[in-house]
Amino acid sequence: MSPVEFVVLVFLVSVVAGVLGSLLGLGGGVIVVPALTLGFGIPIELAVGASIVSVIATSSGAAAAYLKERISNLRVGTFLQITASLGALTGGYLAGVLPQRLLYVVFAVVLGYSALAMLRKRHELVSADVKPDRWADELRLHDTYHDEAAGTDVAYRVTGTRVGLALMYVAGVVSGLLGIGSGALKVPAMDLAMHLPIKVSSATSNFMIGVTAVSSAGIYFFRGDVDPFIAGPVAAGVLVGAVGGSRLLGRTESARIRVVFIIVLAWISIQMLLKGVL
Amino acid sequence: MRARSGPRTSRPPREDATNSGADASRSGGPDDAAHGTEALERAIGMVLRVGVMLSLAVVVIGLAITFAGHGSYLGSSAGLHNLTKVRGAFPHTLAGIGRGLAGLQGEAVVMLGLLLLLVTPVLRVAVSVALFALRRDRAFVIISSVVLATVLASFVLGKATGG
Repeated sequence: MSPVEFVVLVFLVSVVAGVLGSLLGLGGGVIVVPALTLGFGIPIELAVGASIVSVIATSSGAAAAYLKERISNLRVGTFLQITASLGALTGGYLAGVLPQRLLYVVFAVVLGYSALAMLRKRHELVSADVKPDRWADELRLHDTYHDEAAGTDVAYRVTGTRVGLALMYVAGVVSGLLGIGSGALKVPAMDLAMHLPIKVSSATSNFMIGVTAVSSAGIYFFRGDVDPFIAGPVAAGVLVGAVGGSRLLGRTESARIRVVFIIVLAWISIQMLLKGVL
Repeated sequence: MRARSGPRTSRPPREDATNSGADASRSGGPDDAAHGTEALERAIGMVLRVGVMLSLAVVVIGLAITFAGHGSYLGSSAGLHNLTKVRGAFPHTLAGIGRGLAGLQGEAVVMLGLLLLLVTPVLRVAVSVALFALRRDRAFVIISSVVLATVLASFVLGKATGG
């Protein structure tokens, strides 16, 4: 394959990654890394470097489409980002210390459990019994969003703030260690522990993964793990895909988003398990 | 505390709640806070739009320059391995990128575009700090400042350890 063919193919794959990523609140990294390493035979260091770039591209690209901003809960996202960024810093440092295989297995288990839990909740638009949460009240985290597909405004209350912070720290650590945005951990955390509607979780995750990824991006970039021939077309493709994908978010039914997310989670979970075990 | 019986589930929109999200139907607090958040979100969206478009343009231009300067990249497969191996010959320090830009090297232009992209989430947080301050939301000025500080610190640390 010639360089130009490579660049074009990587671009196309990245567009798909951007669409899926912005729709589900993932960084696209979970698609980009396997595609690059298994599909194109790229060394893992460069694939991870490109992955970090794709996470930021998904996050910022989707956010550039204004609609996404209306659905995401900026206050919740900023609040949770405290521990997510701290976690990413921790993860970046731990990168050399922990055995990666162990991490893949843990990650796979967590994702598998999240997929099952979300499967049970897939038809709910908003949670019925939400426990009062003092921090959520005082910081005014509760909000309303307009669900285009359902055609209504949906008001929701936020809870589980402390649990959310703890889960975001874990997601941040994983982020720094694996070079991903950890949207796959953030969305279930917000959906299940904090009772945010799935679209809000997805949109808010989009905001958070970008900020989390920057915490590791500096290290990868200046170490030379971001190769312009790989990260360049990845960035371009994901940006194009993410802008398009975020337009879809409003028009897609919440239940369908959950189902697609669960399928992607399950697939990632199996991939991770195989990497850890084999 | 509001005299509400419990959390609302979905219901049809009120007749005056047409398209604006910042109206009294928000349960998140006084209208003032709701309006503030919407202006903030709009500003962030605009900053990001500019940053993203600029980054995309620079990356694409950089790739175009690279391929224009190396005709062999269009046909042969020999070069691909060299371009995508670890410790490849592309600039990855600020000084190196500066030198590459001076020499109109395509790879350096792509790296500049990628750097621009990496900066966009930082800008996003910085703008949110400013706008929470404008709204006099002290709790969130502190919260977003902490996030900004953490992100900047990690970027600086990354530069120090990497290049």
